[in-house]
Amino acid sequence: MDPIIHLANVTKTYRSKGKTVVALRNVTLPVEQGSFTTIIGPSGCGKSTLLKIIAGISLPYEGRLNYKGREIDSINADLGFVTQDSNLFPWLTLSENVELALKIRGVAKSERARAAQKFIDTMQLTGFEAHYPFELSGGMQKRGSIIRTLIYDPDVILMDEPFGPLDAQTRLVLQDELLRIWDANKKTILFVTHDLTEAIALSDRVVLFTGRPGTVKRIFDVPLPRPRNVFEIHNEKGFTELYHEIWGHFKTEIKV
Amino acid sequence: MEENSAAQPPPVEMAPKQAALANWRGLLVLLPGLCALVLWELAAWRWPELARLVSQPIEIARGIVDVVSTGVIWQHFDATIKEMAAGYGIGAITGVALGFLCGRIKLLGDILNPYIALFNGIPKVALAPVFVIWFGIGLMSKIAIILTMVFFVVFINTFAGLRSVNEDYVAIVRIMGASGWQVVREVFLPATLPFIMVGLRAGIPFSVIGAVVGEFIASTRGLGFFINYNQGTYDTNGIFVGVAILALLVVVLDALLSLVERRLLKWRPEVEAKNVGA
Repeated sequence: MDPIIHLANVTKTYRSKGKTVVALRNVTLPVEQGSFTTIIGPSGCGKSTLLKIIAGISLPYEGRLNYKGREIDSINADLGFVTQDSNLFPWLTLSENVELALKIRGVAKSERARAAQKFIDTMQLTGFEAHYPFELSGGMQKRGSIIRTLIYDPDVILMDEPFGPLDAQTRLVLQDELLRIWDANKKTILFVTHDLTEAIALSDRVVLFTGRPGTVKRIFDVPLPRPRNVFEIHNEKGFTELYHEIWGHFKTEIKV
Repeated sequence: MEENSAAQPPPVEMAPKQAALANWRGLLVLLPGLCALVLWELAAWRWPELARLVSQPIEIARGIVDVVSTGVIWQHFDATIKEMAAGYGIGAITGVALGFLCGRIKLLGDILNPYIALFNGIPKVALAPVFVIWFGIGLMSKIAIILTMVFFVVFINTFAGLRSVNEDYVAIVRIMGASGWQVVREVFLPATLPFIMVGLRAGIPFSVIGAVVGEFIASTRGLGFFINYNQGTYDTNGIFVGVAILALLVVVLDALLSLVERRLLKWRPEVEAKNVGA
């Protein structure tokens, strides 16, 4: 089957303070439908830029970028985007935030309330429907931001360091929840992180980026069996070897 | 799955003890004002020649009751309120509308911004005489003055609000499939609302200033005219009656707008916190 997203020699430059900055250089990356791919690389390597280009927010670019065989030249509303900050809209309650995409798509009120409730229940947010974001903890906001993306059933979900700002425990819990959701519906997920353990624990493939200008340095398959236990991933057979292998390539990209 | 401690609902309802404290604080707020009034009154009793200059609270209160019961004040009140309503209304609407256009159409904003800054630098009251020449001594000249003052404060706040909208929010709804109008309705309007409210609240005293200045320059009625008239007859108490009515007007209007603001912006934590003190 053809990859759902296909980047071929994608280069992104922008101008900053009168100089041309190359954010990404010749990125070639096919993404298979239903796969869980993580992108890892040093800070400032253009990982987030890559997601924005795929979503059609950061145009134009050079090279070829196909989504289901068509060129991306505008915002791609078949995708979902989970940003680093939760970015729940502060003026909407939790359930209004979760329903937003359905409201935009013209779904009837009762139907979207029912859909939102289902997701709120699966994320154990029951009882907080009428709370505003400032009344929710960071982990709850993050859950909210994930389900407001899931609710409109996008084919591909782009996640930009979504668990970065969370504490270590909440992070593990949410990784586990994300994997359970992914196991259930096998959406294509493209997940940016700077945490190697997280990358291995979640994904089928780890894509290692070089420092700026970012490009694909190497792609590693993650052969660990599923379903995975993120809490005990260190004890999984093969984890340590893979970790050290990727780390060996990763550390040369980090300038201390 | 065991949820971590973060899932505690924050205390939204105030504990009874806190509520009692908030009531006490409300009374404490009144204390300095009451003290000032009492001291003023006592000073006026002690030094009658001073009372001729600064009047005294009881006399002012009596004067208010008097002008209200005889109905003398109504034509003035009516004129000022009409000027304010029209000037404020038009100024606010055009301020929000143009603020939106300049805030969202980057080129337009970049071109107009220096001019707006320039005109905003001009003390608007300095334009009042020319408005009287253009629009006569009636309602229109006052509306023009108020409109100019309110427009700028509302425009500048709306504009600043739009320029500060989190671009991530825009990207999020656009990826959800929002049309241009939906982006405005779901992101720009609610995100800018706190700024617009700041402009609208700041516009209220401006509209009073504009009305009074316009009436000082040339008019046949209005609260500013009433004050000016009493100045002509050396009636300081009459002046203070007019000033007190204007002050009350501003306080009432601001309280009404603050009520609206609290309803519209109940999603903001800082508004929640402010309620305790109010």
